[in-house]
Amino acid sequence: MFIIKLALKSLLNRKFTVALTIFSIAISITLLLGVERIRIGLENSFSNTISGTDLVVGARTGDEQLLLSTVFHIGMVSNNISWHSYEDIAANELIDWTIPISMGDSHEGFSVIGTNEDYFTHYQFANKQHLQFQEGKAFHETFDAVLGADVAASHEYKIGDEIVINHGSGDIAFHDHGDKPFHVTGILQRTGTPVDQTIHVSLEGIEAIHIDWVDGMPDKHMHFSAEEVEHLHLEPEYITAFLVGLKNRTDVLTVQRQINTNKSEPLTAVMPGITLQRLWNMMGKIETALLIVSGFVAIAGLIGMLVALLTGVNERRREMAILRSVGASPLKIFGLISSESIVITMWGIAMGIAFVFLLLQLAKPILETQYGIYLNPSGISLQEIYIIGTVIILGILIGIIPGYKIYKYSLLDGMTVKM
Amino acid sequence: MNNSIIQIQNLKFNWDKSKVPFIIIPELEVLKSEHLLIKGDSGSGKTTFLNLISGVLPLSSGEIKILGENLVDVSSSKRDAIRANHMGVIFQMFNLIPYLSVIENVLIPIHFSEVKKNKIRAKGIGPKEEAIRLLTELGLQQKEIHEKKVTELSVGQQQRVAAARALIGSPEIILADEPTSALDENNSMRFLDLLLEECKKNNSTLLYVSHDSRIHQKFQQSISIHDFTEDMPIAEKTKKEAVVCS
Repeated sequence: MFIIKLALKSLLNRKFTVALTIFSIAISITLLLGVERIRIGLENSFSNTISGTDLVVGARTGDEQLLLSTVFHIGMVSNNISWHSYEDIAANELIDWTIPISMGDSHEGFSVIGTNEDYFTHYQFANKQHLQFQEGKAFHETFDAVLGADVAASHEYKIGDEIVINHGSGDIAFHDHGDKPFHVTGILQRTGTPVDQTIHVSLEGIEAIHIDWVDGMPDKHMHFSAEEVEHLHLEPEYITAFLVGLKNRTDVLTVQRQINTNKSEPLTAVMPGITLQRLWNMMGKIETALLIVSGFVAIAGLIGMLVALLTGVNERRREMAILRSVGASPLKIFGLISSESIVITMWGIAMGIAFVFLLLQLAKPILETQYGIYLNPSGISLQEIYIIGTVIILGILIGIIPGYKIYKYSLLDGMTVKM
Repeated sequence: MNNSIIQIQNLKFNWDKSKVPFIIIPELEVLKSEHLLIKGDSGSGKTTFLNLISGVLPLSSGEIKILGENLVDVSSSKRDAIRANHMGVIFQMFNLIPYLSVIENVLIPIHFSEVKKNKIRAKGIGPKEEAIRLLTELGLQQKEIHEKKVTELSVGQQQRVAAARALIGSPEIILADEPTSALDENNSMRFLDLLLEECKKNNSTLLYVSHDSRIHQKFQQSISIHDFTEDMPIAEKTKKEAVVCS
């Protein structure tokens, strides 16, 4: 009991250095767990991008490229699919639903996709969640647009606002479709997926703004106004890709083979789940890098702690000699110093965990809106328990080092300190 | 023989087993209530000798009996217990725990020894009252000093606190390792008088190590540590032991 009281008084006496040591351990733990949370959040956000879709179909290209362009709006596929092929495949009796996607335009850096109303019915993300409207409704007219949550938030768009679509993707557009503006009819609820950064219009809308364009430029000899174009036949000739939902998931390989061996047009059908996993594995190096960084952070923190603890050892040799003179055994002294170090480690870990949860609460809205990373702010994962457990064990082992050093000193010094 | 507190037979101690012994004591007996001065220059082995008596350092060969108990035959934890229950130690300086108050410092030995605690209880008082009594007898009667941190005290006052800590629980043996080396002459003599007086009251045996030849006359017995260290022929050592044991 006295030894515990003595340890506490000693810690209080060195409160500034002890506080600094606890703080440095806490920072290491915060970084370690924070990086881990972000890593898991990234992986979840990535794999939650699309669900419930059995196949993504595009013109013949690489699996990853098709998925990246269709689902993440990263890069472009070089070829399109003819509307005729799309209709043929969509009529396959094994297929339940399809969502055609036409890409290539943008608004203020956000992707514009042309699709049909099936998109709002069948598109699913995360754990088979459907898209929900936070305001308004799906498009019905040619120049209606439905905005993702981030698009609406970034420009404070409201229902009824007018937006102009630029030709081509990217922040800087050389030509716009200013003569045929769109009107916002709906704003989707946040999904944490690229849908939030997308403007959805009808395929007819996409066709309408390009009907008087040739080779990516407005046709010098032909021009239709927005009113005129409404009366034209606006069925698209080509689309970029389409998503497929099957009546029975077990038919996926059959349908995939049918599409991949389509005679009329070379097509690629990919299973999004598998391709997403492959893509994530390709990014595995990033994951490993993050783990290595957090590992080094933890090692640096523990070494810092060891340095702080060992610095205190010399200061305390006299104190230990006094305790030896009154009958304290070297083992008791070892216990005293080790338990002090362990208490410091535990405090550091506890504070680090508290920091992580506090920071997650603070950073959650920013990470969600700015980066689309959805973190789980509560509960501790098994992986995190392993990390904390490892740090506790290392902390205890490190705590034993100064204890052992003092033990050796106390055997050598006896009741008098030779310094 | 019953009056014997410390008995040493054929003691040899060396830091490194391959070397010649650093200390050799063929025979030494210290009696109850005896006040023995152990003289010697710095580095002559005085402190090592006290560490051997207190059981902190193990002997290379020979035997040391403390209150009839042979330190060679007992475990290190038993040696720690003997030290805790029957000894009090005063060092040169820096011998108080800086973050504890005066009273807390004096009471440290009580937390390591039931024997000392019971001896105080037998007097019909508590450990704190005993600590205050000792501090008062050693000239630190002001109550406000008792609760002060030891770092706020002068060196002379600190040594008195250290003396009180050594004396609490009336241990049979007091080991003092140059306790006056940091004090000026006046304070040294005053401190020594107080310590001798308290040891007399408690019937404690005092082993006082010092290089200060001026305090020689205050002691009933004195030996020189040089008599026991390696550069002295064995024959000479045996002669000196007669003086010690007279």
